[in-house]
Amino acid sequence: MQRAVRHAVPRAVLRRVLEALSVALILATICFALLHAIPGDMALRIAVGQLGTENMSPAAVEQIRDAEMLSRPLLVQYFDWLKAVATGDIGRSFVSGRPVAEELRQAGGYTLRLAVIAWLLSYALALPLGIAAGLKPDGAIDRATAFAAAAFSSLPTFLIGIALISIFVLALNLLPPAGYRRPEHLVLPAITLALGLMAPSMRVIRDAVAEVQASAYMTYAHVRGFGKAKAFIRHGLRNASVPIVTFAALQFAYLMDGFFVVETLFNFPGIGNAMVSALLARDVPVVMGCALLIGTTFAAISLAADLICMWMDPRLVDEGHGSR
Amino acid sequence: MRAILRVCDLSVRDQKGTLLVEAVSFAIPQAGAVVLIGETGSGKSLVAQAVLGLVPEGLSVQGRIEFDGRTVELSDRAALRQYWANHLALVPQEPRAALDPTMRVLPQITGLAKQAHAHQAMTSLSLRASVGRQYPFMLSGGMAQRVLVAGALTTQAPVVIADEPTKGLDDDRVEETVSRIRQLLDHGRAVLAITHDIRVARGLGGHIGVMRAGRMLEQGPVEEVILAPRHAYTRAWLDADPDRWPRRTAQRIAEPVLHAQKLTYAVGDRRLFQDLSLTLLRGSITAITGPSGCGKTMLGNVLLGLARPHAGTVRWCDGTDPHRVRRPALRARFQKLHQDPASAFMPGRVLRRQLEDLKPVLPFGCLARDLPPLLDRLAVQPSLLERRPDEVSGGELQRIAIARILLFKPYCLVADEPTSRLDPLVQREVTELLRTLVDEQDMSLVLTSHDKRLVRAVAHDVIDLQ
Repeated sequence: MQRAVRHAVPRAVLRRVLEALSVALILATICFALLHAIPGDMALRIAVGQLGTENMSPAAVEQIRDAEMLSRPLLVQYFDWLKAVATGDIGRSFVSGRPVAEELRQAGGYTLRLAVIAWLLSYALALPLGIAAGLKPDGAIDRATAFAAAAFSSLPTFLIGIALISIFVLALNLLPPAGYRRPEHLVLPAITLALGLMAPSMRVIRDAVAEVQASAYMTYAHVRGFGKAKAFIRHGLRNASVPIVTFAALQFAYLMDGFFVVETLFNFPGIGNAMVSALLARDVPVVMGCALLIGTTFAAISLAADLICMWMDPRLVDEGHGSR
Repeated sequence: MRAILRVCDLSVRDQKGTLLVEAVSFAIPQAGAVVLIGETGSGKSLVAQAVLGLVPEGLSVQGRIEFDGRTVELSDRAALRQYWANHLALVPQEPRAALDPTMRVLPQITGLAKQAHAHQAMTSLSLRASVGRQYPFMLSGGMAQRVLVAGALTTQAPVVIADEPTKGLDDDRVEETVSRIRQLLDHGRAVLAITHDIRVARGLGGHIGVMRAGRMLEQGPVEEVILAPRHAYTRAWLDADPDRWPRRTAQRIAEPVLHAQKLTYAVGDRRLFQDLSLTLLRGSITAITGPSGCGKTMLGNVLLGLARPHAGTVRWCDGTDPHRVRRPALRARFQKLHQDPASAFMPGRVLRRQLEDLKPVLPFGCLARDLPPLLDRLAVQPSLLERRPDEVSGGELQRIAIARILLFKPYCLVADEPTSRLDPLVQREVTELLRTLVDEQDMSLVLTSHDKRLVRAVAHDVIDLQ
């Protein structure tokens, strides 16, 4: 066992680091290819993004084309970017001229704040509801939450957002609608994301809890004199946690999707917003930087989930892999 | 004899009011054993569950138990719960599933008792202290069962219920398990064992109760019941023990249907079999035995051309090697009978339709011509075919699976543990049937089984993969 742990943990770390690198690179490469596949003059779009439509001139467009060396063959541009990334330089924005790393740090910080709050909020709701539903499958709570989960998962995120805006901003005038200056600005985007996150995780938690409750070891614990609550705390929590943690990590992918919609909707200056505007302005370095950041974050979260799952379920250590 | 636990008029009904268990009564003497024996569906497990108050939702229980003079109504589950751990302990059916996979063994054995008790219990079952630090998945099935017996010993419960303690165990393990349960008796606990294996009753001694269709057919001291069964069913049950089957006389036609030469198959670094050569003859039964996981099923698949060996050749009777030819001409004549008949049929599709699905691969008109006599021969009611696979019993489904295979007039049939999931009586019936079919159809039967006694009783040749 001790030996297994010594081997399994570094192996999981190594696997995820390699995965992080490849996911980030593949994502960035796809973004690069897509950006160049979009029709239209790159330099013209950048000039519009940099100067605005009024101040545009053919001379400015040519100047940008020249300065950013956009007339190089695509492959050369791509490999130059790779070379720079290998030395730790992810370039600077075509539009603002600031280093991409700095832009990412700023936008990423906002998004991280939003993500953590939304994620915590969603689990603050999903955990008690899911556990309550799982403890009594087919009971009233189970049916009600199943209905709510179906409703929320089938509602697109932007509809939830618009509904929240019309209620809390337009009708009740309680919260600011968009932008980010004060912490109140976080409330609506966070709730919008949390509701979308909560719906599926509630069902996953419910299924995990129900499965553990129906397991042979739970019955055995009951017969051995452990009361319902005691047996659940002793055997249920840990066993039910493994699928829940795995799912929570996977939800990051959904969260990414949500950032684009929610940040655009609430004009929140996060990474999703940055990426969307960079895409529109053909700001190649920023888009590719975002892709790198998203890829590595996803792998880092998966690694954390792997390690947590290994810590909780020793069988995974023995098999030498974590949540998947 | 003082009874520690008396079960009186225990009845179980389902939602529609059908009696599943009818007025069963018996008494467990102090430090004595009672073995309830019966086939699947006889209600023996329901009796154990009812005593524990663990009957599935929707079933209603009547009757009462008397515990040391106190009477408890069996319908009162909450009252029965009071007796858990202190009066009743359980050795569950599947030892490894009953242990929390994420918790070390020792705290699980300990339960609510003191850790010193658990250490003591482990020592008395010769479990090393290091076992306590292991996780359940690191234990073998037998070890896990010993752990559960130790778990029962750490409680104060005078009565231990052992639910199907030998289910799914290899032949050699049965003895070991029985002696383990006997240790409970040595510790002064009374045991109620639920089983379909007569060897458990023989090994434990004490009382035996034979159950069928929810009724207690007869009960009494084990020796008496075994020596002089009063009921025809009990006699049939005792005769179903492979040790009591009539030996078969060898009558073989030396016409080979399959030659295999120097077969080797490995999984990773582990060689399942190496340089194995064999010849299958028409009208003969060849058994492949060995403990679970030794490659019995794989050898069968290699012979049928379903799995490629790492070395060696298989030659069918027309000279083709099924591993070299894309679609061997005799493909349909080399058939396989699966362990679990339910997995060999599509769930939810009416059986007749599933047989009709074979029309394109059978000779024209063969289905209409051959199926009725086959069903007749296998004693399958044609009306059963109008049902879905889950609506017929395991034995019936296995017979329908055999009928389906016989439509192809096989030269060689590999039967993969064909009876291991069936009750002893059905096991005997299916095996007898396969045996006569070998003679009638002049085919070669390859029987894989971990049951050495079954193999001894039927096979001409034995390939032991150990």
